[in-house]
Amino acid sequence: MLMIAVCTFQSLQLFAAEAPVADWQRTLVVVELAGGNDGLNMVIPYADPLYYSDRPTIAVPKDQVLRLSGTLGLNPAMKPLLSSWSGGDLAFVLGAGYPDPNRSHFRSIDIWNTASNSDQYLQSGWISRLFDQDHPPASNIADSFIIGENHDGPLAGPNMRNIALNSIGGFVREAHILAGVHVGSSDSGPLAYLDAVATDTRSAAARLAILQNKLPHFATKFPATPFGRQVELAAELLGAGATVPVIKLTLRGFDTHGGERLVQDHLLAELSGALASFRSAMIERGLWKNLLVMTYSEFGRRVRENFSKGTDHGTAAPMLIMGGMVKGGFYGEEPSLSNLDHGDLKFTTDYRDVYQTIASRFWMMDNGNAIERALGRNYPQLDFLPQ
Amino acid sequence: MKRFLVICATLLIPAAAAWSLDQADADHLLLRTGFGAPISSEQMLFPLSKAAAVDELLSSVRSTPVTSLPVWANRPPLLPPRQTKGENPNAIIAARLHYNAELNAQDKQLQAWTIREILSTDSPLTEKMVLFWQNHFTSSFMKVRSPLLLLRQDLLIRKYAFGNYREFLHAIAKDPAMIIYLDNETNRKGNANENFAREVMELFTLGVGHYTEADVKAAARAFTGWRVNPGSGKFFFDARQHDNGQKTFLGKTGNWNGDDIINIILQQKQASLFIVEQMWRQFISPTPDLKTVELLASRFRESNYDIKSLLRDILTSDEFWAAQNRGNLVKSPIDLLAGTIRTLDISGFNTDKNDERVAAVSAELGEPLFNPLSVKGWPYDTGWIHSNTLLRRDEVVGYLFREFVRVNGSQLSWAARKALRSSVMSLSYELE
Repeated sequence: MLMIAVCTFQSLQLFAAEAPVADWQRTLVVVELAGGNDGLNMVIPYADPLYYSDRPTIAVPKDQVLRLSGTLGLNPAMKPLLSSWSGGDLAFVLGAGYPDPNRSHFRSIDIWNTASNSDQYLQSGWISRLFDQDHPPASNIADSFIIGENHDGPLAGPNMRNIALNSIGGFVREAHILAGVHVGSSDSGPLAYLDAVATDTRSAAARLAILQNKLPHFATKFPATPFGRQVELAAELLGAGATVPVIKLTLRGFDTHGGERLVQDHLLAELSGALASFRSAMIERGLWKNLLVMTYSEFGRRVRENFSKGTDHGTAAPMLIMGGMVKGGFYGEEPSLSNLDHGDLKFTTDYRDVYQTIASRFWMMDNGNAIERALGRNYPQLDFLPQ
Repeated sequence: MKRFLVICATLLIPAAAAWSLDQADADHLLLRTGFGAPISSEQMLFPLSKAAAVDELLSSVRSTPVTSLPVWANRPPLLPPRQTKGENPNAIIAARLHYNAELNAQDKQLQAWTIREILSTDSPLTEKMVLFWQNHFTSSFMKVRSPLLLLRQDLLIRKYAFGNYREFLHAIAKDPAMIIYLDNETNRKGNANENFAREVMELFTLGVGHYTEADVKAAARAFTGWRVNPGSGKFFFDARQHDNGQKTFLGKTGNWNGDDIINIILQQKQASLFIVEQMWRQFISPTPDLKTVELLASRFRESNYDIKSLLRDILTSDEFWAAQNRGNLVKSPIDLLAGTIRTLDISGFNTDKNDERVAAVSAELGEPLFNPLSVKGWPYDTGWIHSNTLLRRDEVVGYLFREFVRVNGSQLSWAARKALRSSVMSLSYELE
C-alpha cells in the first residue's frame, strides 16, 4: 500500500517536472583551507616587481615559480597539480572576496559559509539553503559527508543530514552498538538534537554497511598525510558507489603570522599531492566527470610581509577549482598590488559568483528561482563550467 | 513564594532547613560545578540551602593542584638543538628528532596529569574553572611547542581562576605561552604583529563590533616588546622593540603600553558584559538573558571584577536553578568521561595508563587538552555532537559501565544504579 502511494507520488512529480531537474549524481568536494590561506604565495604574480619588494624574505623567487601564464604562476609546492593544469581541468578564480572585508577568522569564515554580506548575520550555510529550495533525494546515504574536522560550515542547517565520519568500517561497527539505544522523547532542545543525529547516523550506517563490500581498489596511491587520508576516504566512498551531493574536507594551519614559507609550502604540498591523487583515482574509476573540487579560506593575507617572516590577516585570495567538467584557466582579474585598501588587496570577484556558478551549472538547480531565494539574489556566473 | 519566606522568618525557622536541596538540586549543582555527581558529594550538600551549598563549594576551592606535577615541571625549558659549525649534519637531524619526541612525550604527560587531577581532586569546581579559562584564554601545544610553558600557564590560571579578573588579564597578557601562541614574540616597533591585539579584544574581552581596525593597530603597537626569554621561559620587556609613540585607542590618546590597553579595555562596560555572558553559557544556558546579564555585570564591576563574587551571583541566581535550565547543555567530552568515571567511582581506575587513555579518547571526541583547534577554543553544547562523535561517546560510556560491572562483579551499587538511571536512555546521559 505504502509502495503504491510512493510510486504514484513519484510519477506525479515526474510528469509535473517541466523545468530542468537538478543533477544529484554530481558531488562537490569542498575543501576548507582553515586559518587564512595566503593567496599571493599560492598563485604568484611573479611578473610584478611589487610582489618582490613587499615580500623581501618570503616571496617565491622568480626562477622557482611554476609559470602558468606570462604574469601568474604556482608555488613550487603545488607541482603535483601541473598535470591537472596541462589536462585543462584546473582553474583559479582570482581575487575572490567581498565588500567591506572582515579580518576576524571566525566572522569571516561565517561570511563565506553562509554567503552573507559583511554586515549580515545568517544562521544557515549556503549549501543547506540551496538544498532547502531543491532537496537532493532522500534515498542518498546522506546530504553530505564531513571528513577530517567536524565543521558543518556551508552545510549547517536544520534540514541537513550531515554525516561526519573518519572511516567506513569504524562507523558501521560503532553504529551497530548505537542501534540498540533508546532515545528520549523530546520535541526540542539538545535531546531532540541528539535524537535526530542518532537517527541519521543509524540510517547512514545501514547503507554504508552495504557499501563496505564494494570498496574499490585504486591503482593510484594516496599520500600518507592527514589530508591525503581524508581524500582517500572520500575517494573510497565515491568509488564504492555512494551518491552524495557534497563532501567537505578541511586542511588547517594557514594562519601564518610567522615563518610562513615553511608552514604554507608544506600545507600546499599536502593539498596538491592529495588532490592530484584524488583526480587520478577518480579518472581511473570513470567518476571524474561528475566531480568538482572547490577550495575556500576565510581570507587571504596582507600584501607586505611582517617582521616574523609571515603575513597578517588580509582580504581577497584565489579559489582553486578542479574537476572533470572544468574548463581550466584563470577566471576573474588578479588584484592590483599598488591599488590597495589599507595594505590589503581589493577583491575583484565576489565569492558568491562561484557559489552561483556551482548551483546553476554543476548541480543544475536552475528551476524556478531556487538559487535567488537561497543566496538572496542572483550573482554573475563564471565560465569555469560550461553553460 | 514571597509569603512562604515571610512565614519562615516569623516562625524563626532557619531558612536553610526550609530550603534544603533535594536530590535533583544537588545533582544539578554538582554536574554544573564539577564532574558527575558522586553520592559522597551529594550527601554533603543535602542538609544545606542552595545559597549555603554554593558557599560551601566556593569556600573550599583550591588554587593549586592536589597531585604532584610532572617530573620536568621544575627543569628549565627544553631548547631546540642548534647546528654548530663543522658538525655532522646527521647529528643535528638526530638531535631534532630526539627533541621533538621529548616534547611530544611531555605533552602526553601533561594531558594525563590533567586527567589525574580532574579525577582525583576534592575541588572539581577548580578544574571546571581551569577548563573554562583555558577555553577562554586559549593556547595550544601545536603552536607553543612547550609543555612546560603550558603547565606554567595552567598553574597561573589556577592561581587567578577565582581571583580578580583585572589582575588575571594583566597576568595572562604577560604569560609566555600566550605571548608565543598569539605571536607577540615578534610584535616589534615599526613592524607590528596584530594577532595578540586582535584576539585580546575579539575573544578575550570585548567581542566583535566593539572596536575598530584602527584600535587593533594601536593596541598592537602598545604591546610591542612584550617578549619571552628563551632560556628561562619567562616574560621580559624588550624596551628596544617597544613603540613609544602616541596611540589612539578606543578614543583615548597617549603613549600607551600593554597594561594601559588592558586598563582602557576594562573601562568599557562591554568588558564586564562579555565575560558575564561567557560564564552564563558555561554555567546556565546557551541563551544569556540580557537583562540579568546587565545586572550581574554591574555587580561584577562594583566588586572590582572579583570572579568568585560573580560566580556566587551566577550560581545563586534564579536562572541557574530554573527548571528549563537543567539538563539543557550537552556535556563536553571531559565532562562525559570524567563525570561517568567519578560518579561510578570505578575502583582501581586511576592508573597512569588510564589517564593517558582518557586524554586520548577526549581528543578523539573533539577535546584534545592543551590543543584546541583554534583560538576560538572548544566546541560548545550541540557543537560537540556529530554522527562520528555521538557513536564514539556512546561506545565509550558503554565501555565504562562494563568496566564497572567487571570490577564490581554483578553487584550494582547505589552509585551505579543512580548513574544508570540517568543513562537508561543512553543519550540523555550526554546532558548535564
